[in-house]
Amino acid sequence: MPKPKKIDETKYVYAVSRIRAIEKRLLDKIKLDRMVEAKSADESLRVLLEAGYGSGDSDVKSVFEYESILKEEHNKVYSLLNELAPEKDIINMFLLANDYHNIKVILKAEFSNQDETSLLIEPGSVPANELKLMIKDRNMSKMPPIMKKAVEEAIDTYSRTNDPQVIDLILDKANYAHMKSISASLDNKFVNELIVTLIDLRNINIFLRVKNLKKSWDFLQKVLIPGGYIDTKVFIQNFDTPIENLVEALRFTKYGPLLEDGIESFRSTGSLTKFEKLSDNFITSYVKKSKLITFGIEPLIGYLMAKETEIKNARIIMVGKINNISNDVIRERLRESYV
Amino acid sequence: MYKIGVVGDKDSILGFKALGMSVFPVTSAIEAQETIDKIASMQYAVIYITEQFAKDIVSTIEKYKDQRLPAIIPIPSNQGPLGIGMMNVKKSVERAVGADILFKDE
Repeated sequence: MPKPKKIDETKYVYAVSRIRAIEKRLLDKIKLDRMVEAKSADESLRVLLEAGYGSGDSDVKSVFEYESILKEEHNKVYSLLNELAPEKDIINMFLLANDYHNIKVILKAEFSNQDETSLLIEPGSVPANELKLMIKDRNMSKMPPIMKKAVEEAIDTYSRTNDPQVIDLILDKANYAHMKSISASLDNKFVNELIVTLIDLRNINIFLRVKNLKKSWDFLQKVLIPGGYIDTKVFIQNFDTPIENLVEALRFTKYGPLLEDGIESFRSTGSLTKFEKLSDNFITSYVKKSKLITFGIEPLIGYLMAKETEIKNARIIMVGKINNISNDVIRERLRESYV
Repeated sequence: MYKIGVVGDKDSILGFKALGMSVFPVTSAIEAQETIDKIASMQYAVIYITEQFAKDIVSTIEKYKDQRLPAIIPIPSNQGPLGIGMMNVKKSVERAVGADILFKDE
């Protein structure tokens, strides 16, 4: 394996200064509160527009445009970071999830003869239409090796089993393996730990969902993602026992408190809503550390994750408002914000 | 083969997609009307429409009442039922049997 390259922090002086300046425009708790408290979805949307969402001209005709506004904001974040970051790989690492989603959509659409265009997500580290062409022509030589191997494996396994789920299994695993391989090529503790944490949280989530579905442990074994801090064996060993055993096994890891809270509500309601919210908060509090770092990639990643959370929160509020969900229920689902 | 279509606000109807129906999210009564007119001439035998929109485009729905296909059926949206769907069932029963044999106690 090539020697991990050290990130040259001095290259980040300009980028971090820009980020620190625009970080101030993130939606804080007060603004989110205003959105929740607003009398109508229109008013909530106006708060978003005031905060710099949308293209600036205030001729938004209907609240239903919120979806395209949020999408556009998402694009803006990535194009800004791509412009600022000296090392594009690191930013692209967070776009891989979109790539793998797109690959799944393209493959499944092909196998079921349907049109997929509306389900593709931009931006990706590889543009969606390029992915589409490559897969259509079965010419994946330009794809990153991990991705290429996964696509080939998915096509091959599907043709033998006719089971569309294998596409998800193979590509989800590849997604995390790919992120992990990029982070391994960087000598940066912050990024490495972030990826490992994401994998752990995903695995706990998988564990709970497989338990909910009452599937067997060998299915669990197939879907768990290797590369986390918690060994996948821990999950498998504790699978056929009461859920408390997993909580007990992980009590003294950093996930102890998260599990206790999250699983409590999972047990009483059977729903993962609370656990997922706590997981997101966990990541937010982790990336908040980047606020203390003067120069480096960390503040950029912090901003990126903050923005992702913000857009998620904005979506929760808008959907809630449009469907007349009560403010309390909306607030219960909101993620902790970065600022 | 005939298909089933669902017209309404996106958050209410998206779940039907998982059942293999075609969903048509709309945001206004005019859009709902246009969508119904468009898909009525296609291979749709049943079109579900949320009551929230059905109440504003009664005339459009009436138009298809005496045609064999499509059957346009109002369904409650996620905002709760308005009673239009049930009312129609009642009317249809009266029309077929000649008397209200289902709800006469209410």
